[in-house]
Amino acid sequence: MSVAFEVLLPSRIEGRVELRASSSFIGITGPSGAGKSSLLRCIAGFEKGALTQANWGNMSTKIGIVFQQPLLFPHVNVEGNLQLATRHASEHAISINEAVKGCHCEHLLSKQIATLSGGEAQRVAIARALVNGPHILLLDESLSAIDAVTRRHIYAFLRHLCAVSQLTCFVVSHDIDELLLLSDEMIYVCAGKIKAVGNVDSVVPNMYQGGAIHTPSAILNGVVECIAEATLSSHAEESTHTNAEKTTHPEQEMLIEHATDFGEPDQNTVYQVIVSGQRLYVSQKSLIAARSSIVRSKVASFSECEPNQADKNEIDNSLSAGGQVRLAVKASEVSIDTNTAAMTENSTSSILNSLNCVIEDITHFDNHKSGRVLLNLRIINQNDMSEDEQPALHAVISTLSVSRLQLAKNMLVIARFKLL
Amino acid sequence: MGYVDADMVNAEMLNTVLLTFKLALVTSVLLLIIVMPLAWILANWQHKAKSLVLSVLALPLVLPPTVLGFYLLIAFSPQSALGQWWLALTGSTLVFSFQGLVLGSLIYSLPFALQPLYSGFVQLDKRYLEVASSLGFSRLEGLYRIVLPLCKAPIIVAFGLSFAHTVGEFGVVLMIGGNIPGETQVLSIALYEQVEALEYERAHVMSLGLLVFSFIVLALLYRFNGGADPSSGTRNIDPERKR
Repeated sequence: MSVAFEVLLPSRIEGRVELRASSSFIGITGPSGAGKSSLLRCIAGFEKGALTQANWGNMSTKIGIVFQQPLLFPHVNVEGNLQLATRHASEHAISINEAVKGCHCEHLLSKQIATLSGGEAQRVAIARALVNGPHILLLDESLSAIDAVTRRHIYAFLRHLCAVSQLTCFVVSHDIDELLLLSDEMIYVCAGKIKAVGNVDSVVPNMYQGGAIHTPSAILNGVVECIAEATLSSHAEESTHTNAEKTTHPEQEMLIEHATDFGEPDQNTVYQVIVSGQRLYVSQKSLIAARSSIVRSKVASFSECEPNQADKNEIDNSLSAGGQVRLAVKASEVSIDTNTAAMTENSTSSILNSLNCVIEDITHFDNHKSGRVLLNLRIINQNDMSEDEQPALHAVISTLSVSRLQLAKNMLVIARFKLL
Repeated sequence: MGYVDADMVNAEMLNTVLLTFKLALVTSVLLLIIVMPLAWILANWQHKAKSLVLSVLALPLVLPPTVLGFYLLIAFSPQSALGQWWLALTGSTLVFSFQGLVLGSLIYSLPFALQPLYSGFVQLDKRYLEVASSLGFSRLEGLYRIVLPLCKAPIIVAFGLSFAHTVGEFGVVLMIGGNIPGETQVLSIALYEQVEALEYERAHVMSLGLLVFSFIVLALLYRFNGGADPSSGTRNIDPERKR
C-alpha cells in the first residue's frame, strides 16, 4: 500500500503527495518561504487551520518532528532530554545508546544544554526524536548546523534505520545535491504548492524549470567493484611507514584482486563503481549506499517489521565489492569530448570518468545572452537495456563549445567528469 | 544608629511582624495557584477584548489603594451579597478580619504576580509544547514537565514581587482591615500608629526593617533575573536565543 497525504492550509501550502510503499527517505526542497515547513507542520498536526488527510498504511502513526532550532529542554541535561523522550516511546524505539552512537553524541550525555554548540544540539535533538520511536520523522532543516562529514554519517544512520525498521523520514533541506543523492523520492514545493512528487529523475526537471536549481544533477545507480588502485597504494604506503614488516606491491595486488572488505575507508577513499557497464572512479563522499536490494515490506503494514541481522549486514557492507550505490553528477562538472575513440585508457586527460552518451536535447537557457546551454544526454549502456532504463546525464557547456564542436541532437559523445 | 535598641522589639511587634509575613505568604501562595493558569490562558488567548481584560487586571497597579480599599470595604460589608454570604458561612464578618485582608491582598497584589508570569508565558517558544506533544506528552504533562520548569524564573519572580508588595501594603489594609493587633495590624499600619503616637524610635526600627527587607528582596530578584527587570520575568525563557 502506498503512503499518501493531502494538505490544504490556505495561502501557505496545498497539494497531494503519493509515495511508493518502498520509499522511506523522502526529500523536500524548494525556495525559502515556499511552504516546506508548513507542509511538515500540517503532517505533524500542528496547524489547526489545516485540512490534512493522510494514509500512512493502516497503522497508528507516531509522528516525530525536529526543527532547525533544536528546542532541547534546558532544565535537564542531554541524558535528561533523552530520558524524557523515552517516557512515551513506542515499542520499536531504538535504545539511547544506539541513538547517541548513530547521531555522534555519545560524548555529550552529561553536558548541560546551554553548553552545546548549534551542531551538537541538533545531533541531540535528532537522537531525542529517535529514542521516542516515531513511525514518521519530520526533519525541518534539522542538520543545517552539522559539519558535512558528520551530517553524512547521520544521514547514513537514518537511512539505515529507514531500511531496517518502521521509520520513514521526511527531510527538508536546501542542500539539493545531497538530498537528491539520499532520497528515495523527492517533493518539490514552490509558492505554497506541491509542484512535483516522485523519484529524483522525474522531479529534477521540474525543479530546474522552476528555477530551484541552476543546473540539474543526474543520479546514477552503480555497483561497487573495489577500492581504486591509487587509494590502495596510498593506504599501503601509510601502512609500510607504521609496519616495517609489510611490503607494498604483493599486498596491493592481493587487495586489488580480492578486496571484499575495505576496512575503514574515509571520505576520500576512491571506489571503482560500474555504472551502465562502464567504470567510474568515485570518492566516498560523492556516493551513498543504495537500499534497492533491501527487502522492506511496508505493504505488510508497519506493525510487525523488526530489523533483522541480515538487513543490517547488507547495509553495513554496501560499500564492499558488489554493493549497490548511488552517485550524483552535477551538470556543471560534465565536459563533452567528441573524440569517441579516446576513452579513459588512451585519454590524455586527468579526468578519469568518461561515459559514452548520445545527445538527446540541446536546451538554451532562458537568457540567450548567458552563453550557456544545457545538454541532456542518455548514457549508452554497455549491457543490453531498453532505452527507458538507460540513465540520463546533464551537461552545462558554453554556446561557443557547441558551435566549435558542432554538437547536434543524436550525436555520440563522451561525457567526462570528476567525482572526487 | 544608637537608637536601634533590641529592647524595643517587644512581643507586640513580633506578633505584627509574624502576621505581616503570614499574610504575605498566604497571599503569594494563593496568587501563584490562581495566576499561573490565568496567565497561561491569557498568553494563549487571542481576542479583541484581551487588552480590556488585561487593563482590568492591571488596575491595582495605578489605582490609589484607598480607592480599591473603599470598594472592597463596601463589597465585604455585611450589607453586601458577598459579606452576607461570608457571614452565613463562617459566622464572622469578612471586613476587619484576616480572611478579608487575604482577599483584599489577592486583588491588590494580583498584577505583581500576573505580569512576570504573563510575560514569561508569552515569550516562551510554543514549539517546546509541540515537541513535547510529538514525544507523546499530553497537554497537562507537557505543561508540568516542560513549561513550568522552563518558566521557573518568572514563577519565582512572581512569588517574590507579590510577597514583597503584600508586606508593604498600607492603603487597602487600612480601609478593610483596620488596626486590630494580632488580627489585622500589619507592619505598615503599626508604623503609622507609632508615628501618630510620636514613638519615633519604634517607627525608625520598623521603617529600617521594611527598607532593608524590600532592598534584599529586590536585590535577590535582580540577581536571579540576571540584571533584567524582575517584573518582565523573561530570563532564560528561550535559551535557543543565545545561539
